[in-house]
Amino acid sequence: MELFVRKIFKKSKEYILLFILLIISLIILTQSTRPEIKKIRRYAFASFAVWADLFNSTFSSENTELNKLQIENAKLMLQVNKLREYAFENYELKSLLKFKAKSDYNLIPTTIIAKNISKSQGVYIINIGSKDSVRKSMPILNESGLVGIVIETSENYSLVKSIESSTLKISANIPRSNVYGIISWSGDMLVMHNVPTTADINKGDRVVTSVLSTIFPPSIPIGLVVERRSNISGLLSDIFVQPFANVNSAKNVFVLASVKSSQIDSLELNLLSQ
Amino acid sequence: MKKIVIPVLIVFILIPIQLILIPFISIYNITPNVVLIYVLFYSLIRGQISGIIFAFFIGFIYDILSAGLIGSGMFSFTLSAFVAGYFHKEDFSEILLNGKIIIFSFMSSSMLFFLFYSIFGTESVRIENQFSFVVFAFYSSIYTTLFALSVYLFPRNKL
Repeated sequence: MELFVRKIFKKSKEYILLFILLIISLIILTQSTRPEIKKIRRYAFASFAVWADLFNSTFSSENTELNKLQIENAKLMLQVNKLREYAFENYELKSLLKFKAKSDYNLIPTTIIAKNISKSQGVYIINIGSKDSVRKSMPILNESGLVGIVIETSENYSLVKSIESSTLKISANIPRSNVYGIISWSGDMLVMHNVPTTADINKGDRVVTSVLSTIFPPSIPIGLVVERRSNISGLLSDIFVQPFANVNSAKNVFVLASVKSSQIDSLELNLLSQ
Repeated sequence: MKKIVIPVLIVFILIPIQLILIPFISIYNITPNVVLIYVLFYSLIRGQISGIIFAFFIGFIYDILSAGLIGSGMFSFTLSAFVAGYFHKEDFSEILLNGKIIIFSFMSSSMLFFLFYSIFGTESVRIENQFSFVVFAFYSSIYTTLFALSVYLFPRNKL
């Protein structure tokens, strides 16, 4: 018997080893959201980011004038979007007085120093951190629209989950028809799932972050509706959205330092850590 | 000792290159993976067992440093190194002389890598997305294989 087992092991030791290693990988994969693993990851990315920043600064040159114009563009983009929203509200005869005026956006310019491009794991490192008042859950945008969200911070660097990451869910709104839904990355495009087929949605409609989100401030442009596909029952449909921001070519981005209630903040951080 | 330390050090140089420089040469979001190329060559040269053990640890380092889901790189690197190890020959120059082996081994193993690495990053793979994952893996493996073929640009006696 022992001889037989030994013979089997000798003959197929590669397969046995492969099986063991793959099982270990899968076990670790299921544990990757545990706080201890997250802690290891935070330390590792912070130390790697120092290298990455050094590498990055060697290969890219700073252009302050361009950076200034990009900040200006991003601010204008947010203001234009706010104005669009006011127009819709006006059209629906809502009282403008109920709407709190907010035109001053605190944008912190930053640079993406490392990217993990994959079909579904869009994670970037930016070169500002808690020292520059960046906090977990702050939105990242560029002059075109929403790029992602801060998921982890160290003193000098932050980890960003891009909108092209299938694990990021964004509460979105189509202002023209006032349709709300959850948007996520499908691998090719952003998709708003399970929208009633009767909802008035046309190709070319703008999609923005919704007021229902406590994580993202409202009215940050996300993208344009490009397609609508009904499911088998015909009652619900999926809305395909082309993002405004080209996340993969984004280099200089901004952190929108939104100031919120500490109570809401702690609640949403609990949601993020789940 | 040298046999372990040097390859690991090389990977520590390749990971920043992969995450910082390689995105500049992406075509429609498709990038080659230089860390994978190194792991596959290692497996081709040293064989299946050494290849998968090396790939497993490199996968862990890659997951940690690239801030990806820990475990996804470990699984994908290990599986692709196993496939590449099938083509291992004692004399590496035999593999190099036969370009078809390089192309076939790289295409098959990198296809598996990109497919699993992407799928593990997704919470739910819907049926309509499955095809797009395969297409992405196919193009990425072509790009990676073409990149790997650049070894032929070096003078043969230096390899």
